Formats: sequence, structure tokens, C-alpha cells
Amino acid sequence: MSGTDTTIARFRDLIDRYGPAFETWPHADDALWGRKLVMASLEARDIRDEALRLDALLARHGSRLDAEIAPDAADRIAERVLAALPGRAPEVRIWFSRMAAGFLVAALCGGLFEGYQSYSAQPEDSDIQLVEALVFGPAEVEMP
Amino acid sequence: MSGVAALAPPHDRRFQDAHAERMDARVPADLDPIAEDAALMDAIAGGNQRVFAALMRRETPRLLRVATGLLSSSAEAEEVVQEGFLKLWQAAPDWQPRARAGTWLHQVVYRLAIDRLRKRRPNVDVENVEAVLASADPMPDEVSEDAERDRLVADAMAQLPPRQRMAVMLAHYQGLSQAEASAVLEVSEDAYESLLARARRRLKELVAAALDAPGGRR
Repeated sequence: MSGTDTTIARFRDLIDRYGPAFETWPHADDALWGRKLVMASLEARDIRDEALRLDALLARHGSRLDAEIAPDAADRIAERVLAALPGRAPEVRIWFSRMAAGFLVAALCGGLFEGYQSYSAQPEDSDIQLVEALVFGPAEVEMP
Repeated sequence: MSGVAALAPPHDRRFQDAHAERMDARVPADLDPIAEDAALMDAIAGGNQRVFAALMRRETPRLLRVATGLLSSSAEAEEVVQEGFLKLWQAAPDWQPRARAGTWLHQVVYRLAIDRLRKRRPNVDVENVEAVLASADPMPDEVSEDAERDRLVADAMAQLPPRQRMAVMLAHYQGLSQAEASAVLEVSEDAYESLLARARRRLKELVAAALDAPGGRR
């Protein structure tokens, strides 16, 4: 490989790594060397021009990708994600507290109803004794 | 985010979001981007959905761009981005301020997209793909030269291995630094440069071959 070949190969590698804009190259001395080479070598200029064409094509491709994205996509995704959050702590707490309050109310109602039923279902002792006295006669019934 | 806030007019949604993020998360104005995102993540870990929504709106466009570029499907891209945000919410309590949230999200979206591509591959009928693509091609006279070149680049990008495609997109579209891009791909900066160089070389070959092919518009 001749010196010129080596120089061009190195230039091509740097262009492929960092792109055709010398100002974005990470090492200033490489960038300066590249600029000088482009001015001195037709082959180096062709390599740089080819990279510039690729950049332009890729920029168009990027615009095409952006055009595929729906304008409301960001809002839609944010809404969907918020609705699907697994650890929605405040809402979960509210839900649990509402559920607990529901149980409490149900338990109280149930207790009151049960108490009322027991109360109304249990006949007075005196009523029972009166009925038994009427059915079996006063001698059979132990009166208080 | 601070850059967006500085450039966008006050009525712009992104400006309002950026403002909401900072106010809600009580972010001091002079923080560096990583510390700033750490403050936002702290607010998100505390259950602040307003900050989370603002961060999602900030990051969605470029995540969707990269996911669409990898998956060639905007519907699947949306699903992957959505999944990425859910993972970010889950990761918030243990967030380590080593990188920007955007870099982390790029990494997650990339992994999720690669998983989908791997699952998709067994279903691809390799023998018939070219025939199907050819039958879908419009006649040369029907398309403009610009549209033809767009299609050609899209085809060339689709032929790159996903890792190389991602390297090109990170370098050309995503506005990430070299350090951030290499972090997304989980390689050293030097390895990322080499990957990018191989990808650009391959793209040039593919584009040149397509332009020189019969029907190509050299």
C-alpha cells in the first residue's frame, strides 16, 4: 500500500466514523488535516462529497420517519401509560379506603338488621307462658 | 429539556411541559441535565403523574422516531415506547443519576424493539420477501426522483443489521452525544465509532448499488 493509499484509507475511515462535517470531529488536529487533504486531493474531495450526499439522503429519511408519527401520538401514549400505571398509589389508597368504608357500612347495617331480627323474632317470656297456659292449662305451666 | 424551554415560545406545549416539570419537581435552574432528570425521577418516584406526563411528552417524538426506524411499523413503535415508559415508572424509586432519562429510555426501547424483531424473524418468509416487495413497487414512471431516493434509502436502512441501523439513527436523528449513544448500545465509544463507520460504509455501498441497478436513477 502506497503512502497516498494509506492517507486516503485513513481519511475514509475518519469520514465514516465522524461524518463529513469537520467541525464535529472530536480531534482538532484530525479535522485540520482532513480540511487540508480535501483541498489538495480530488479523491479525498470525492469521498467527502459522497458522505455529504449520504447525510442528505439520511436527513430526508429522518423527515419521512417523523411524518409517519401521528401528531397526537405523544398525548395518546401519555394517556395510555397513565391509565395503565401499576403502582397508582393515591388512587389505590382511595379505592381501598372506599372499599373499607363500604365493608364497615355493610357490617353495621348487617349487625343492626340482625339485632332487629333477633329482637323481633324473640317472643316475650310472658307471652309464651300465656300461650302455654291456654294450651296446656295453668297447672302445667310454671308461672313466675 | 432546559434547551427546549429556552428555545420554545412560552405558549408552546413543550415549554409549558418543561415549566410544569421544573415547578412540580422543584428543580433548581442551575442543575446539569443528569441531575435535573434525577430530580424529575425523584418526583415521579413520589407518584407525581404530572411530571411523568410532561417527561413522556418530551421524550416521545424521538423515541417513536427510533422505534419506527427499527420496526418499520408506527403501531408497534407506539407499543414499544409505551412499554418503555411503564418500565421508567417502575424504575423511578431506584433511579441512579448516572444518565439522562432519555438515554435510559433509548436503551430500553432499543432492547424492546430488538426483542420484537427476534420474535418476528421466524415468521418472515425469506424466499418470498423480495417477490412481495417487487410486486408492491410502483412503476418507475409513477414516482418522482425524490420519492425514489427516499424509498431507496429506506430499503438500504432496512437491510442494515439492527445494531448498525440503530447506530446510524442515534448519530443522525437523535441528538445524543457520542457518550450517550454508546451507552444506549452498551459499548465503548470506540466500539460505537467503529459500528457507525461500518454502517455508513455499508449504506453507501447499498445506495450506490441501487442507483446503479437497472431502473436506478444515477
